[in-house]
Amino acid sequence: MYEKEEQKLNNFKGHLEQIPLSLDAADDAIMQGLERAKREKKQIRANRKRMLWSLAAAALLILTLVTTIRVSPAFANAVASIPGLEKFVELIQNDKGLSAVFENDYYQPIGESQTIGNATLTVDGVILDESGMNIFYTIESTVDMDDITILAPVLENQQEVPPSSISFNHPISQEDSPKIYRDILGFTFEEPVRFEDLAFTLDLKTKLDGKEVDFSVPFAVPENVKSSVTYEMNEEVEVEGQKFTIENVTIHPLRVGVKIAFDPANTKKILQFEDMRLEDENGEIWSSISNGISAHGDIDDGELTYFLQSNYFEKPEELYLRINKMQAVDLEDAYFLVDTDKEKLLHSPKDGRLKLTKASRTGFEMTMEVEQKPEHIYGIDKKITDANGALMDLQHSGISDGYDGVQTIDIGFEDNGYANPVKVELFAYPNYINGDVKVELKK
Amino acid sequence: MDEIEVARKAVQGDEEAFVALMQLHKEALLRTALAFLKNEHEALEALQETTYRAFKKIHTLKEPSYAKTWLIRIMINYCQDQIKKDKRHIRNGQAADSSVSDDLAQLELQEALSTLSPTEQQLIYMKYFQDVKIKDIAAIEKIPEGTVKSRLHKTLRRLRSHFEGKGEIDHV
Repeated sequence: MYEKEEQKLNNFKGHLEQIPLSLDAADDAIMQGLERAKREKKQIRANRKRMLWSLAAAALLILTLVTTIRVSPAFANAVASIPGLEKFVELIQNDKGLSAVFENDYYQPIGESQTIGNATLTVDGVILDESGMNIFYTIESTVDMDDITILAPVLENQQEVPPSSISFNHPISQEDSPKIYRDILGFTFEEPVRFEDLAFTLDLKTKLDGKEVDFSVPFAVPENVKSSVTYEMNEEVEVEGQKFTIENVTIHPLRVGVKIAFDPANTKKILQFEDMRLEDENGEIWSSISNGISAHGDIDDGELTYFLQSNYFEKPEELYLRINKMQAVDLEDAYFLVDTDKEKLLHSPKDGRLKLTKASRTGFEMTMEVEQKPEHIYGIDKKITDANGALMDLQHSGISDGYDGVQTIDIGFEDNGYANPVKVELFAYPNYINGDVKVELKK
Repeated sequence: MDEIEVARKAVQGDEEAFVALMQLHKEALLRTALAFLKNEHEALEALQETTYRAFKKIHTLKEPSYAKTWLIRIMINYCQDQIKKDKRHIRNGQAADSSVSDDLAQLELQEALSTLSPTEQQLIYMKYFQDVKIKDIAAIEKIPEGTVKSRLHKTLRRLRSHFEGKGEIDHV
């Protein structure tokens, strides 16, 4: 039918095929493209997610880059039925617990806003439980916002809001619509709390295009929280000679808290639980680490609460807390020392993974050998102090993913006349102990 | 290792396999770029960019047997973006290598192709230049074969009306 056109196309094809090509130049182009992609992957993923911790209590950020995105039909329906929420899908769909919150109508739309100058802050909705509040918000401006900085979110209630850790995404470039910025503020309360009066105010200090804009949006949450469920366990377990007690597990709609106390006689310091999870009798996982594990408290106080994704809305008959793999180091290996004047690494874990590559009074760079690309990327520093034990004025701290068997660490601080050496207590380190912890959650 | 095996390894993150995959298809990719950009220098840049994009996205390739068409689509998308950008600076004939388009009939065909939508261009390119089967195009695009066929017909019809409207120049 279209022989003529097909003939023309075939002629053109034949012609194209005869063009001489420089295949060496092609190989160069391939290698250049590859190098560029690799360089980019290596770039330090610092500050992608920032967490503020109200107490000096630590525990930190972890970010695994989201590679695949799957949305369950039930979740998609739930989201579609709430106006405006589709914009947030990207931010919530990776957390099974959060998805279930939507499928079970536990998200509460709010829609209160305040306009200051060109910019409007809207509290789109919240998820509130005894463990915290997730606030879905939008900042919209009539002019392009090239630079958006979230400075200090504060949540107020006539009752005292317990000290909270606050998580939010650092607005990276909002390429698509620089006039609109959406994110979730995640308040995690230090102690579970139930508010009598559900009138709150969100105070949000922001910097938009270099100007400070302080929003204050009062809003009322329509319904009070569903009660959390606590399982008292008090069971001591042992992994490679290190003992710890699982005190309790509390299941909230937003998260599962696992409270663990460590035996002060341990010879190793446990840094991270790699695979803490809740499983049913068939080994199916109901709750696991979400975006890396986070915790409240300080391991040096001997007690920590770890958080997992929630399975509040779906519970199997039997549920077990399971742990197989932990990051742990000998006590004397739980820190490293850098002299930034002499540019020397004075002390570090004895396996020699850490190498100092660059140092000055305002920071240093290191490399850390890893056998394989780590599952979770942890920051390395829990606490950085000078020779007198004074906290350093930390400017940034970042770590790359484990490309080519090496993670690159970059830590920067103010030179406020501190005394060398600088001591960095490890938050995470790729040395593991393995065991098989399985404790049933019983009412 | 056969082609599919190379692609499978590349998807799993094997860097050597990825390079091998690019080597395997570099010729097809370069010719694709030439079909759109008409100049070898730009074509090489396009190959670099395609390598870069492919390496970052390789884990999203679900079916290793479609690696070649997957790469070619990345290439075409890039070329089409470039052309769109270039239009703002008015593309002049001098940018084209004479080896690529020295024939009047072919110049005319290229002009006709440039009036098609990006999707239509891609379809024509896959079918007539890469000889991808209609069945495979349907699988890759996740649309029924019948739809591919009717789109193809529609596109050929548009090409024809372009030629007829212009008054045809028979090639020599």
